[in-house]
Amino acid sequence: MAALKDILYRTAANIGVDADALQSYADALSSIVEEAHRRGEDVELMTFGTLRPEGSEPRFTPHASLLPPRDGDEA
Amino acid sequence: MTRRELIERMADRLQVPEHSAQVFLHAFFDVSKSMLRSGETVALGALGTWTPEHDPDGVFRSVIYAPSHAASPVPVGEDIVSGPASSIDSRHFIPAEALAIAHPSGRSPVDVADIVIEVQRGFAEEAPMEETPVEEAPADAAPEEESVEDEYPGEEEYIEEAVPGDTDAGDMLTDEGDFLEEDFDEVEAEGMEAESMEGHGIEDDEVEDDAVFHRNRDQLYHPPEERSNRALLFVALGLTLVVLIIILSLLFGSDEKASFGDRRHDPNSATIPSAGTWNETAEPESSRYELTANTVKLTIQRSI
Repeated sequence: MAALKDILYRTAANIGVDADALQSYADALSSIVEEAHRRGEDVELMTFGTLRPEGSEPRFTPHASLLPPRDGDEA
Repeated sequence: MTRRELIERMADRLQVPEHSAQVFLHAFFDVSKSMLRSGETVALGALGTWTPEHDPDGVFRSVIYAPSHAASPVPVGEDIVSGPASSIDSRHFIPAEALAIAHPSGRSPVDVADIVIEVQRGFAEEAPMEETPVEEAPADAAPEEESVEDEYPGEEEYIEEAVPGDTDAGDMLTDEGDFLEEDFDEVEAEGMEAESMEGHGIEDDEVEDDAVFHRNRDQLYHPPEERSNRALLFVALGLTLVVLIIILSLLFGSDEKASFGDRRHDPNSATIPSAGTWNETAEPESSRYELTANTVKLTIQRSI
């Protein structure tokens, strides 16, 4: 399992910054998503997917680029 | 919330350029995607957990999302504060007690001043001011003196200088007006003297200006004769000629030297010395002159 810390370390390596500097970004992202969830807003997580509040829990819809193409998509 | 709005909110929250927030978000979710594709479960804290689902062949097909329990869902019927108020709440904490006192009904308009007063009062009750230990003043010290010293630092010294020996604080305070009046008279008298002196000074300056103007004008139209440097020029020329003569004599005087040496001998016999005499006497002398001449030539070339 890749925890948030692992993702941040890899992200920092890709960008070329210190991983500790990205912790505030991750915290801000979590709080923004949480606030949007409280308000009942959809949150588009870039090209990762979209979180939609449905009932008491949010539902995740993956972005098309996340999943591999299905057999019928090429046609 | 679109990805554009997400970027803007991130930048606003962190007080960073939007470009920085955009770079982070793209990189962050790209890494998450690649981890999922590689078959790892991704747990993004409060955002939730994503687990990849594979085919029996081991091919990545879909993801299963499990929301984090930290995120509280929206209760039905609760008033939702939307817009920038939420970010203000997160930055500027207002105690609930203060809101309850200042805004009891929940529907009437809120007076911000009431909230500020309640917040200040709440903080004051929570953290009372620390009592600083006060040193007890000696019994014989006069409280009036301390107050004067505090309000007008240095005033006491001034009064003591003006009236030596008078140390009573009450008298000093009452006499202060008289001193000020006297000082005012003195300053006024000095000012009048200065004005009168300034008047004379202006007249003197005008006279001096006229004199300087005439002197400069005379110098302009009748400039003083400059010293002639002709004598110095002639001396320099003479010295140059002397140096040139010396150089020329050194360059072309080697034959004459040789002839001087020949005069001591018989022209027929001495001009052609024997082989032994030639080698011992004539050759070193001529070579010395040639060496001197070459040295002078080199010196001239270098100077040129």
